[in-house]
Amino acid sequence: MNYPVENHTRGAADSSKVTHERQLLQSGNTHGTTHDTLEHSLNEIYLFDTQTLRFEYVNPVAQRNLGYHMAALRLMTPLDLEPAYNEKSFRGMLKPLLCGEKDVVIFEASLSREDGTRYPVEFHLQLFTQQGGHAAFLAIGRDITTRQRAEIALREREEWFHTMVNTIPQLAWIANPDGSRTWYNQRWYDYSGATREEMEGWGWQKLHDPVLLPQVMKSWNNAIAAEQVFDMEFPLRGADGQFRIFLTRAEPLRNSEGHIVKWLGTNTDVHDQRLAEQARRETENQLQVVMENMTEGLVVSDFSRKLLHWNRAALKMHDVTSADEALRDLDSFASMYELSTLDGAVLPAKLWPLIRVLQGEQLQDLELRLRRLDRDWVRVLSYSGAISHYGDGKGLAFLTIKDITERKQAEEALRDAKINLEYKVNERTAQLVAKSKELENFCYSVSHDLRAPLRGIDGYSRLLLESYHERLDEEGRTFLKNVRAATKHMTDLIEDLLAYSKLERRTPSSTSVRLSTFISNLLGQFQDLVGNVVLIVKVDDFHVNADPDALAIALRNLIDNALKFSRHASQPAIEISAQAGDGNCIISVRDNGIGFDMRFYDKIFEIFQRLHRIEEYPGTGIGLAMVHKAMERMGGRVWAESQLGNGAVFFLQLPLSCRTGETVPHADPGLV
Amino acid sequence: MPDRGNRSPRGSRLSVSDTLPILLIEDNPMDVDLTQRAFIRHKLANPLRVARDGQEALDLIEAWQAGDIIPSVILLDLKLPKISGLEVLRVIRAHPIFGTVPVVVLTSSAEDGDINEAYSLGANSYIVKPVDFDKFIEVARQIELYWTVLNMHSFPKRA
Repeated sequence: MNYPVENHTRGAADSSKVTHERQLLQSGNTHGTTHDTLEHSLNEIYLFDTQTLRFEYVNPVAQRNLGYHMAALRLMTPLDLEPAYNEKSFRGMLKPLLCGEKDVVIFEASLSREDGTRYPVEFHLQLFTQQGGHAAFLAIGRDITTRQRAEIALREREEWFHTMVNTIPQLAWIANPDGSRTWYNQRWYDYSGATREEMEGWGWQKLHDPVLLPQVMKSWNNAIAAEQVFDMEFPLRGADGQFRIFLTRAEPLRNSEGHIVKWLGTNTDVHDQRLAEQARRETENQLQVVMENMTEGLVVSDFSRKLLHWNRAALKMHDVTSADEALRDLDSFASMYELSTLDGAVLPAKLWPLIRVLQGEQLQDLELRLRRLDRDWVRVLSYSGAISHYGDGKGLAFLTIKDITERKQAEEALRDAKINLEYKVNERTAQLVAKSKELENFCYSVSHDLRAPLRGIDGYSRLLLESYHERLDEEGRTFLKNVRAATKHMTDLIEDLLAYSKLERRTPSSTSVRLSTFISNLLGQFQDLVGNVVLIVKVDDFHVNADPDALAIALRNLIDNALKFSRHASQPAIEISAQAGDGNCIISVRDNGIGFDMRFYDKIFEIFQRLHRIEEYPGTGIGLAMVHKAMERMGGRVWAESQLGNGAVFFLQLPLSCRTGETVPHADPGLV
Repeated sequence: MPDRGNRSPRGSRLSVSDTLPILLIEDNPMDVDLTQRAFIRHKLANPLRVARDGQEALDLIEAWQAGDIIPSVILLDLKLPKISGLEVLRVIRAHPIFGTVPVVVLTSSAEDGDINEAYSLGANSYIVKPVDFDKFIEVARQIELYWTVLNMHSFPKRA
């Protein structure tokens, strides 16, 4: 029983033949045809006594095989033919048959021939009752030399396989016909880190992902049932607990009769390969997604002008839903579309963007108008493109397309709007010029025509006072004086208004003004008015950029105001100072008069705004508006700080003249 | 008064000018009246003649041509009906004989444009009429003093 596994799979035909002969003997017919059958059987047939163990009958095949004649054999027992058996062990083997515990005992023996050589025989041994009630043991034997040789060859082949598969980089194994494994190569154990015990039989399943195992088993069982080569890829867990993907292939190994006796399997590690493939696939997928979803159109062509790919955006720009036949090559494309420059000149096909790219040109934002010939479809597209060579005179041309129709329309609309705007601006300007002219005429009229009647009123009230002085009583004279005062105020208003409007209308000049000289000249005009006022002037020596007339108006009005509003102070004081700063100078006019409430700050520079009753502080309400206007016209500004009852200070800011550098600033305090 | 224009131009200059008339070209009757009163107040020796609009003024030139007496100075208002003061000035200055008669613009307008144009057309002086009557009287006095007493005028020769 060296190869119990093999015995399981021994050919069914052999067993049935032995059984047949046994049945013939069992039927008790050892004579006639039965006897002939035994005599001519190819199997060895022995009958030996249950007590003495001596052979009673040995058929001719057995006699021939052994090289003994029957006469000699009658004196011999099975123990003489198989030296490995002693009587005790042999009888022990026979005992279950005698006791009726077993019907048949099967065993193999190596029989000694007469010439001393040996040969293997498989025996089916049973108790046999002959006619007449005499019981003997019937042994039917079969020469198994051939079979044993095959088994050895198979074993050798297997060993060779083992040796071979231990040298290959794959994992390898041998499985029984039912799929249970009997052997693994060293690499299997190295990879899995498992022991032989763990892997025995169905232990290999432990290396599988439990989720995938049912699928593997299904395929494996299918292969077994179909007796077909098994081919499958699945992950196997390594000693480190990580799965790697293996390509598994198992081939059936058949015996001489064509029955599958083994499966020889290998597992090839394809993990890195598959990962690389997967990575490449993923990259490709990502590129595909990007390509399909980008808002720019993309058309790919090979060097034979075949259009290989259109992305979704490109299709949309051409008003097609799929890249059908018409979009497969340039010629059919040319029959469907027309390209022209933005000026409307139709492009011949040789100047089409893709052709230019294919000719090696690198295109950047070429703007063209595309028209579909069979329907109303016009877009303005911007083409860019380049070639990508991959050697061997092959390569691809990539054309990216932007749909700039809306942008162009917007630009056009903007251009129209601009032209329209320019027209409107011109129109408005003309209207403004007309208005300005009208205003000038108006001012002229005011200046001329309002003054003439005033002169009449003043002149005649004066004449009345003079010539009719005696005839008027005191009240009458007061009335006339009031008429003249009102006329005076009206005259002042007109003068100021005219001055204000003149500031507005004249183009301010810009000259370099030496401020210290300018201010002392200006103060000269006030000398009569100053009276008991303390006047302090601190003006550094520098030049400002100003319109002298406008600056004079601004300063004169501020000084007028300072004098007017400090009139009731116990000791009126006015301080005028000017300092050059960073690119600008600041002139301040400070008084110790009644000041104003900063709540009304917003109002003070507005025309006709007054904070005091006219009989307290006479004025037209135009002075500060004029200061504001003058500063505005010179690119300067004016602001003020005050506290009711605590005087006020007004500031003027003006740009310094570039001549400032040549003068040395110094304080110049003094009384004028 | 055709005779007066035939006086010898070689006479005493002071006595010549102070009897020549002053021509006022002014449309506003009140202004005319007040001007006359102002001159009367100074007991002006020179008679004041008045043209009430631009056309009347130009008609006077025809009269001068015909022998009428030429004024020592013309006081010209700018804003006149029909023909403006500046136009009258232009015609006077363009006149081959009477182009040298002194013209003093006496107007309510203090507009830069008017002032500049008046001078460029050849005005001898530009005076803004004050509203205040006292000042106006003073202006009248000074005009008379300057233009009829101090100033030496030319002697246009009629054709």
